[in-house]
Amino acid sequence: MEVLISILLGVWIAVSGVVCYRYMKNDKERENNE
Amino acid sequence: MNVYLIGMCISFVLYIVVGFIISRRVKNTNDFYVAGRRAPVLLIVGSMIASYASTGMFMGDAGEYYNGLFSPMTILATMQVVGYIYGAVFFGRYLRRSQVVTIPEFFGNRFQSEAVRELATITAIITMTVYLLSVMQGIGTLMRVVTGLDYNLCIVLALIAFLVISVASGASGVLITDTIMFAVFTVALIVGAVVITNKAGGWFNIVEKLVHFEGKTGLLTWGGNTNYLYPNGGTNIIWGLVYGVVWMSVCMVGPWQSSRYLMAKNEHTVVRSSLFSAFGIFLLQLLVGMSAVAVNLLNPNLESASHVLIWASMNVLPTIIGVLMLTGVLAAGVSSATTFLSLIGSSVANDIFRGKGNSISIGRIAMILVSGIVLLLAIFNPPQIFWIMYFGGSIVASSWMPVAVASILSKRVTKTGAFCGMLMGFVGCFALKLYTSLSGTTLLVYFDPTIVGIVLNVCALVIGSALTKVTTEESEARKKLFITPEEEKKPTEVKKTMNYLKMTIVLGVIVAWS
Repeated sequence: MEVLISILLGVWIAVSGVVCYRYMKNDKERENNE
Repeated sequence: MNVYLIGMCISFVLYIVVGFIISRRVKNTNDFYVAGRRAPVLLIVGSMIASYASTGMFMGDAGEYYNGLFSPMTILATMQVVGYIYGAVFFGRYLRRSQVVTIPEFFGNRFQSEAVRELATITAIITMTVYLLSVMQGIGTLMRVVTGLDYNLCIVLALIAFLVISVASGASGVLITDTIMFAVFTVALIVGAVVITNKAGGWFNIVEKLVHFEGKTGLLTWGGNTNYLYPNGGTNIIWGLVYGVVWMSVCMVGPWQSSRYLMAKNEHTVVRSSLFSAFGIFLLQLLVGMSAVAVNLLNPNLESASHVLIWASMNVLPTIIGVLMLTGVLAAGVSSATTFLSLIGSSVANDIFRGKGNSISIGRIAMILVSGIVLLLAIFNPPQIFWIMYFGGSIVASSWMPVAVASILSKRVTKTGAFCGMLMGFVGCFALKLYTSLSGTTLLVYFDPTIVGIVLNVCALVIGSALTKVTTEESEARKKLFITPEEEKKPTEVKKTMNYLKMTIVLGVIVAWS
């Protein structure tokens, strides 16, 4: 169970990193769309 | 006069002197309220961590680790620190871009509504005043326990220190003294944690001993000690998740956190600072947790769990390191107090009395008055205020977070929706907490007042926005936020910031792998 929690916390950090990275990468496109 | 009191008095004098020196550099309102908007990553990180880490972390959180909630607290900390990154990317950058002085001003401009700005101001001032009271009581307790001085004298001494810093030098001084205090308590905690864990047998031996520890069961298991908070591990984990959401929201939009972004020299500083702050807070939480849980092997029967690090500083650490540690804990409390006080002054001067006289003087008078009120409350300490102190983070999470995120991400949210959401979040959280406190009712862990407040906020936001239309002014105000200033588009800086974000992904993979 401890291992599962550790994996889930790692996934949480990594997914959050991906979400923020992708959002910032699309800044220019967003500026044009808005 | 004992050695701990001498250390604390020296640190107070040092902070006050630094505050006075910096006050000479304050030339205008921009310097006083947003530090001239030229702060580098180090100062933003130092101030963010120092504002977050208070006596609550070194006493309250340490007590939870000591009592056996290591795993739920680690879940809470991991969820919470990611809030910094979401907060910077989805809110902080736009806050910095809007060039406002206060966050209520941001809400007012974004929704083109005085009512939204006023409501945000009221909730901000209540939150920070309540939190200031909580921190002041923590500082008073710490100083009384350590020095043996009268409690009232302790809080008066602490108040003089943080009032002088905030009133004399404003945000410029608070940024620098916060960073000095951040350095003091970080060094103190690192050294203290190493010594405590060594005296308890070394970290790997400690893990082995705590796993088989008979005094308190489950200290390091996934569900924690089931004889402490909840009788089963699953509920303890849910408790960690619920409070993870609450504190993640605070780290995203809490005024004492996101207001630091207003002082950053550019938007890249905002994003990079959030990443360092997230890493720093997690590390500090881990060190607090490791130290506190290890104390079980040295003294498992402390009368007050929240005094665990104080006890260790005075009974386990060599005197000089103990002084450093306790001065560090004090610095954590004082640094939070200076931030709250300067933000209250800023909100009163720029949101309530804007355009009415000298802004800096109004801010200073407000800080002195609020300090006086908080001092009286802390001295008389009416029992009824205890439940109010829980609201420090809860009000911000329930009344601000959904509106702040929607103000950037949603085209459809209106001023009516924002106002209703903020109001319902505040009232829902407040009323439920009042009811449970007065009636002595214990709610299920899922129905924490903050979570109920967030849900009510989202519902009111959606319904209020569905029943009204976005005005042209609101739409234009939002569009302006998405226009990236030219100076933020330098390819080298953009690449560097994106590389920092990539590191977050790598860090997540490492945590999952380990």
